[in-house]
Amino acid sequence: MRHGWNPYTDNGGSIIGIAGDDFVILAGDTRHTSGYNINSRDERKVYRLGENSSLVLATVGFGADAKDLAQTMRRAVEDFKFQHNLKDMTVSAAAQFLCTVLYGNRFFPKYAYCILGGLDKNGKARLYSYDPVGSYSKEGESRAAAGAASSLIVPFLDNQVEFKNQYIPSSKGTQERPVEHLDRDTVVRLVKDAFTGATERHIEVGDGLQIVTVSAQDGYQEEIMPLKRD
Amino acid sequence: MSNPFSINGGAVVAMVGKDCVAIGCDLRLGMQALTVSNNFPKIFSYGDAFLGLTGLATDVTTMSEIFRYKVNMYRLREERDIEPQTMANLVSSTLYERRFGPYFVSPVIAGINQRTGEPFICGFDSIGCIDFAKDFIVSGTASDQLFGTCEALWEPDLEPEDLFETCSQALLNAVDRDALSGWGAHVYVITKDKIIKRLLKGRQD
Repeated sequence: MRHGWNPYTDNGGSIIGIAGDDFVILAGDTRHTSGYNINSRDERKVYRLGENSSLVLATVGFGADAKDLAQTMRRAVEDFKFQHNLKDMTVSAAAQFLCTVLYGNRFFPKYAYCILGGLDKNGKARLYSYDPVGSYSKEGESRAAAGAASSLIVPFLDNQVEFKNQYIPSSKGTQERPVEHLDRDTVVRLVKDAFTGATERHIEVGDGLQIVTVSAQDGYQEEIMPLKRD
Repeated sequence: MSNPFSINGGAVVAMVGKDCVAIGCDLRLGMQALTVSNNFPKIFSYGDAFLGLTGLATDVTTMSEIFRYKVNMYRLREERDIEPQTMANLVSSTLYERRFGPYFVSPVIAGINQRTGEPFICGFDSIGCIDFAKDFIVSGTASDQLFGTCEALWEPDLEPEDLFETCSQALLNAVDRDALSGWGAHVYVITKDKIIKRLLKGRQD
């Protein structure tokens, strides 16, 4: 029997990010798996980058790499503050830095999909998503999903966040429903619906749902909602 | 990509509502990434039972013809239409006959039982194992996406028009995230005394 050591494991789970006008919500389930085993029911995937920071990072994929990336980012954001006269790192700078970190590991990649969220200097929401080697869009996005159940979640978000395939009823299918910023309660509801659905049909998703909100008014808030444990 | 189930692409979904059922399919036929036709419906009607077939296109056509023959023979012998439940057992046994060299299809059945008035849906694997579901059945290359949209959009006891919208939105948004499905859709809404078939344009890319 041939035996080779594999440096990567897929630890399952899923994450979502949705940007409103002046708030951003990042969420992830708290199940940590390897194969058919559940290693933990309370392993959180969403990290705050600093004590008073508006920056939030969610990571899925290989748990060890994901955690290491979060730690690297947290250290970089803290270090930036001390190097720049206690000025906070902007969300666009953190976004570019994360890209550099990921591409720095181009030939032995950190096997993790990242979603970075935060507020810019005008208090407007920004959201970025990455592949394991750092590719991202500088313009940011309104919603993102990654991980085991992303294929289940993404079409739902297309429909409910970007209103894809929705038309103004009186226009007989000629006028698309215009995209608008969603309010916070709606976004939280969508996140919960997406994860309860994913939990029902994907074995690597479940146990708990960590929902992190960063808003201009209320700052950082975190909620844990139970998901099915079967 | 030599998996026979994902050479031609395609998607089917069926849903239960209040005294009604809906079944929808996309219209694409492809060879790997190349689209060959955008008018290849995957739902076939056999009296009161509607059969959706995804998988290898040659087997989809063959099976639809086999069931046309078998259901016609049933109708001649019994002098009545086949009920959806009976159709389910016919599909199951027909598939299991080919246990060790299966047809590469994932069938779905939807219909209203004309005797009891009960809505009925079910799905199968390629060797005939029946999946009776109370809510919805998905099949095809966009099945992951369909599971996501159906699980989030479906709710119990939808009226026919709401069921149509739910089924259509679930299908359209799912196939838009699958490169092997799409190019328009057919959606049937079936009640005890009426069948409505609608052709949806959807994204053409």
